[in-house]
Amino acid sequence: MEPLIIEASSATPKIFLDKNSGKFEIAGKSFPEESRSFYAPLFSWMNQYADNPNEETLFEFKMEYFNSSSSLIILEILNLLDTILKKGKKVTVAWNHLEVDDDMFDAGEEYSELVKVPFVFNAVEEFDI
Amino acid sequence: MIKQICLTYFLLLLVGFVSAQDLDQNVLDQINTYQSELEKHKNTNNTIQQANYLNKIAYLYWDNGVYNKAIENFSQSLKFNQANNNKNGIKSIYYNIGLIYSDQEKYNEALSNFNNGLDVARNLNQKEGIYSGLINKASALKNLSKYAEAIVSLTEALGIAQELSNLKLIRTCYGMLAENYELLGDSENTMKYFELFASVDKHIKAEQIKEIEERSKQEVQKAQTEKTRTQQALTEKSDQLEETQQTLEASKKLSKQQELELEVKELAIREKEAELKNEKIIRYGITFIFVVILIFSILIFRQFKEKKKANQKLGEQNVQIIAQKEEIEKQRDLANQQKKDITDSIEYAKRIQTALLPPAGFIKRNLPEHFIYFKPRDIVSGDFYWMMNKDDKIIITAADCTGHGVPGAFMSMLGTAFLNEIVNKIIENKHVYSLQANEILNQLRNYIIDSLHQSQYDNESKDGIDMSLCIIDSKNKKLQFSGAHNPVYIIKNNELQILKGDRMPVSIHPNKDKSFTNHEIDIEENDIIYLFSDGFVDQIGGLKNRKYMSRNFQEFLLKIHKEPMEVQHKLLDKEFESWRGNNIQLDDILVIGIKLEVAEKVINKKDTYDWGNKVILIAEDTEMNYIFLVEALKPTNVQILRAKDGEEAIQVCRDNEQIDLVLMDINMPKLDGFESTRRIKEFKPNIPIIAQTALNIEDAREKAAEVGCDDYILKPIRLKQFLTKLESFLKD
Repeated sequence: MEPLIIEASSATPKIFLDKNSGKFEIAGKSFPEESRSFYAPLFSWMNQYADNPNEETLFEFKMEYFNSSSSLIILEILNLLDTILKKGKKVTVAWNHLEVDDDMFDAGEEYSELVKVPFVFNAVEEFDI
Repeated sequence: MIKQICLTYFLLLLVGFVSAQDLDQNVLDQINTYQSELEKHKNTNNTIQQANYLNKIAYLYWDNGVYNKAIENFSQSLKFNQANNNKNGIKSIYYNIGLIYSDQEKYNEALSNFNNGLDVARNLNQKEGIYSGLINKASALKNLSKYAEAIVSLTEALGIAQELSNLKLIRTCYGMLAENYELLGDSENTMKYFELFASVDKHIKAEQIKEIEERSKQEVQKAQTEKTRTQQALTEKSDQLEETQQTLEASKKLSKQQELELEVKELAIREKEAELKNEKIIRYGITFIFVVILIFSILIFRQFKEKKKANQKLGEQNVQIIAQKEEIEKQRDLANQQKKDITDSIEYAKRIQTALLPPAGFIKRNLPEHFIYFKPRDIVSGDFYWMMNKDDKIIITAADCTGHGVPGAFMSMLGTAFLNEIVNKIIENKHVYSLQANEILNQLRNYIIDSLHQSQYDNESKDGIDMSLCIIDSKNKKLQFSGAHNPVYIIKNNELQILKGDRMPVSIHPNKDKSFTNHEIDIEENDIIYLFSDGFVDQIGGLKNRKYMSRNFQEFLLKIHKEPMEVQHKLLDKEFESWRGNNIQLDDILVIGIKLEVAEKVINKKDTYDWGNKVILIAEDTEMNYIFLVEALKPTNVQILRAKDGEEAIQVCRDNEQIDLVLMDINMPKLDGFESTRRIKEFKPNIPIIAQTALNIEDAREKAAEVGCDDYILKPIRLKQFLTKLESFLKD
């Protein structure tokens, strides 16, 4: 399966999804004009991946900012990860947030209450993107 | 002022002596015309028209000061109107007769007519009619020295004006209330209503100025756009013209060249001809000449034809270009028009949205110390605020609807309407004392889920509201809070306390059956609470191009919370703009700050101040402001000196041995308050000087401190705090 790599822009995050190396990451800011169309490639990739996932998936979020329509997208990604979990695979979400960003931590906690995938929270001083 | 009124009455009295005979011929002619019309309608027994002409005659007499005739004609008209049961007419005539009696200073007669008219207006349930009746009645009562009764009428009129949300009517009520309270000698209420009058007046004037500025800005812009467009069209046309001319010249050049070539050829032929002549073969020569002429003609003809064709083609192209240009212009105009239509309609929607927000005066009355920093991202907003006051409990909320712009605005309208209905219903069914903050959110959630038909939690139906809602109960010193995602901050004794909202929105959600949490805490005087949407903390900007974040927000609020609320408002905007820099504003912004007042209202305490042995200098150039300071200080028996400008203030300080305090206005002629303070402090450093500043002075507090002011107060002053502040300097 070909990896999906989209570089970050001022309003969109970096997306790095690679089945072979086992690196799954969304990082940066997300407030695209059209969030549906921006994330369309991600969903088609993820749906394909969900059909034949790795034994273990560690999905990393390194978000600095997302608007409300992007927050729905994140929930959909988490729901997709839930379906992989249901297949008996191991799935973990690493929710990275800046140490000073209490709101981002809160948002992660709220997501973790809404889905079954286990969350690991990491407070970092700076993101290494 | 009183002089002016007297003069006016005097003039009115003079006019009152005019009799029918002294009328201008034109007026008499006009009256005669009306009279003959009246006769005509009398013959056909048309009572409606008779009433109409009687009114016209009455107005003419009234305008020309013939009061008895005016009343006579109105009274006749009144009978016809009564016969026709035309209540509107009856009301107006009663009011008119009342006004005429007022003009003649016959206030008892005026009053009874106003009362009659008022009865009719009430019967019609016509708000504007009742309002004007009440105002007329109040002014008659005032002139009869029945101030308390006038106040009753005015209070009712104020209620109607507020119902009508008509600021100008409200202003009139405040002004007249202030006047009547002043005549009653109730300085507390005089101050109160004068301040309300002044602030509404200021608001109306500011709005008018803004409107004029806006309009002239638009005019200028329109003219400029028009000018640029015309210039552009002109340039385009002259470019085209030049192009066409160039093409024409080019083809002309071409034909000339060909002509020249032909001439050369002709010469060659002639040469040959000469040769042939020499050989005496003239016949061939003649034939040849014919042939040459023939060829020549053909060539010229062909060339002429080609040139014509080229010209024709050029012409066709020109027509085509012009057509295309017209088409493009048409499309551009259409697009511009559509854009304008859309913007216009959103601008109008904004007016509706603004009208639904609680009016500034209403909030100010209930929460004297507050600010609302409201900065929509687009024309209309998804953030909104709402407030209600029931039995000394104030319910206030800052809300953030999903999305911004038009979709958010729709949601905010729903939210406002539902909140009104829910809170009124709860209070109707139960009692205000049992009102719970979380119950309001729970019910609002049900309303939204039902009305938007949100049946299950999926990704398409996550429209909802994040909000924080507080109930302030200053009597029992309690604050209730319930939140959907959003928190409330409370700053108490320099410490910031956070009450977090629940992690769910007011809309469909997996936890939708879980009740929102109700928080309750104790509050004290001067605690400050902040309610807000996430627009401020989520704005991207700063050096690292990052979110502002809650933590920075908390620190910033802690830093500024001691400033007056209006100043905090400005500082927040400054902070936001400098953080945002060149980034776009990402979301609507709403921050509400409220300084709580829970102390029992000390009504009689001012009477206990006795500064009979103290002297205060009031440096104030504006007559009105000075009078109100004097009124405010009257009960304290303090001795008052006055200076009308900065130089005079310095002189008074030099000349008088005893001055215990100076109230220093900042904006004064000759020498401003800052400079005067600096100079007074040079020779009398121990006199306490309190600067009075209006808000529009930049960095007033810093400047006041810099020149040596001991304290400063913001205008318009609030009586209780004003006296308390003075006491702290004057007590022995």
